[in-house]
Amino acid sequence: MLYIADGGGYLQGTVNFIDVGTVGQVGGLINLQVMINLMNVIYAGANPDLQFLTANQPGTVDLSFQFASGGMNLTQLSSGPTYQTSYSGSISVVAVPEPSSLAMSALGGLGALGFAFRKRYSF
Amino acid sequence: MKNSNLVILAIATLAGSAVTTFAQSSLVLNLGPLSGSQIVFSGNSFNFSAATPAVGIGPKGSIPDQWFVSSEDGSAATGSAINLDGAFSGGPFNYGSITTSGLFQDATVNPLDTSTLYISDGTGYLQGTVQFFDVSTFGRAGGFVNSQVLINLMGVTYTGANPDLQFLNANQPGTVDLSFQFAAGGLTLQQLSDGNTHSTSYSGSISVVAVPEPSSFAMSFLGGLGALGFCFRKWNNS
Repeated sequence: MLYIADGGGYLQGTVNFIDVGTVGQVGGLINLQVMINLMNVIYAGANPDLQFLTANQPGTVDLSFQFASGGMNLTQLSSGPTYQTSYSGSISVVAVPEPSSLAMSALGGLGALGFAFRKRYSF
Repeated sequence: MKNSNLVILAIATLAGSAVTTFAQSSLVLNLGPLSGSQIVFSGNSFNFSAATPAVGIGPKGSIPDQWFVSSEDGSAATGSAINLDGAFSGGPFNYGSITTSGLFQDATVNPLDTSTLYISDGTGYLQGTVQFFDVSTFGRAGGFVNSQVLINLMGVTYTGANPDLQFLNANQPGTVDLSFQFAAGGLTLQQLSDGNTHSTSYSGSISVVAVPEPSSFAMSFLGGLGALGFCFRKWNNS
């Protein structure tokens, strides 16, 4: 579960990390294919960005991490001992127009074309 | 004591001294961006934006802070550097032509575009020179700076009392590696270099490893040899 606190309440959503990979020994990435992996987002608060995130789900969550001092690959990270480092991430959604909006836009365009056609042939 | 026991003791002493000599202590400072700080790509270069609001660190507080030490690792870590602010000054860091190998895209950072690393201890600061070497991406998910984990932190100076910063100073040179990621379809290095500005968050690791001095190693080795010689002499006398 993903949680983002807005001070008074919180947003929550389900994240499927999908995969984890390393590149050489320097570090790695989670969700290597940048697939959609954030869904079921719920938020009832007033934060505009969190409202946008909720309204335009599903989204993607990607993380990156790195190692110094010789680095580590995924096999080494999985060898048994505990390894830790810092990480950063990006959470994103893209607003996709609803089908009804798309249909209205298409009809509007057709109407404009029809009007132009009629004007041309009325001379 | 039996001679055989003495030999075992001598070998154990030699092995123990070798292990002690080679038991390298290390320190890793993991960093994360302060609010508002990002790695910013523009054309064939990248840079780091300041935190918002920024606090001045370094010489006369002239360097806006960018990140903080979020955690530590390594046998020498004391926790004394956690939450200290830092920055990579200089830039933009220009890079050359991009090479592609499968999903991996990489470009060499101009060697002249070095950065000065600053870590503030509250009253003073540590500083050192960082050569980022290269910037790379893997697929569209994200990328790395210094992908070969090469030694790239040197010229470190520090006169303060923070134990972790003292260790970092005493055991230079070190490495600085960074990672970053993109969501919403992601970006390759080629796309990051399209002339538009692309920015995202980043994290990093700064590390040094204490290497035993040659004199310490020589003393341990000689001590072990002496113990073995003593055993050999005792053995022959008996």
